[in-house]
Amino acid sequence: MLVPGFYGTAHNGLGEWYVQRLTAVIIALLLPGTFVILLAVYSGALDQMQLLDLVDGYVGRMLHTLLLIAVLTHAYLGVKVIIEDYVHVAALRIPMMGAILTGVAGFGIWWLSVIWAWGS
Amino acid sequence: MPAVKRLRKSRPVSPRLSVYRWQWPMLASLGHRASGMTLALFVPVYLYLLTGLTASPDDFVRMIDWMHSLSGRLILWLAGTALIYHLTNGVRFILLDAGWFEARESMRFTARVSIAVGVFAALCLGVYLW
Repeated sequence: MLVPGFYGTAHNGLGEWYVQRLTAVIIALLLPGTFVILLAVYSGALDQMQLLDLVDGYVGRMLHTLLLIAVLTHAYLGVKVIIEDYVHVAALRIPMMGAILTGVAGFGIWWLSVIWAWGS
Repeated sequence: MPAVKRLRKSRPVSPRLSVYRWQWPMLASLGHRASGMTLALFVPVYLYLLTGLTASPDDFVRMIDWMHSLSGRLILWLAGTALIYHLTNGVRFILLDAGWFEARESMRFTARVSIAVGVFAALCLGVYLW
């Protein structure tokens, strides 16, 4: 029974499915290296100057920005799917998604401001 | 509209964990969600670390000390394990989308591979961090 609108926002599904996979590929290329850098800092193999050389250049900032957009989009879509599956009360689910969207946007702004403020 | 109302009542509610028998692909899928949630929760920690590590030399030392504390190691271990599992199983999901390993047996086998990689990563990272 395909009543238009009855299945909620299902008409957005294909686009979100595609964006989830596109961002997954970007993250798969960029995030493992980022975690290795974090472990290198942890172990002392990278000192602060060497870390800043990696993240403070234009290439580093661009890749970091691309990574953060992909990560936050991917996380938002992923958490959305989980909440849509487990939280069945719309009055609870919709404010939850609103709060998460606001949080994701806030972290995005914070993250961008950290990356682009270095050296200023 | 009455038909719609009846449909609403009988609609199956996902996920029906109590209905299906536990299977490797089901465990892999649940693990994907759990590791994804863990990684989403690591975003604030990452920002905290990024801010501190790139601030003054004193802040850098403070962050390194925090990373070496018990809670720091535990959080790094959790995030790293979640990352490696989520990456492995994410590649598996994309291959499934592309039509690879779709047969029942190969789907169960690749689910076991994902979980084995996750467990192996947890052990290796645990050895590295302690």
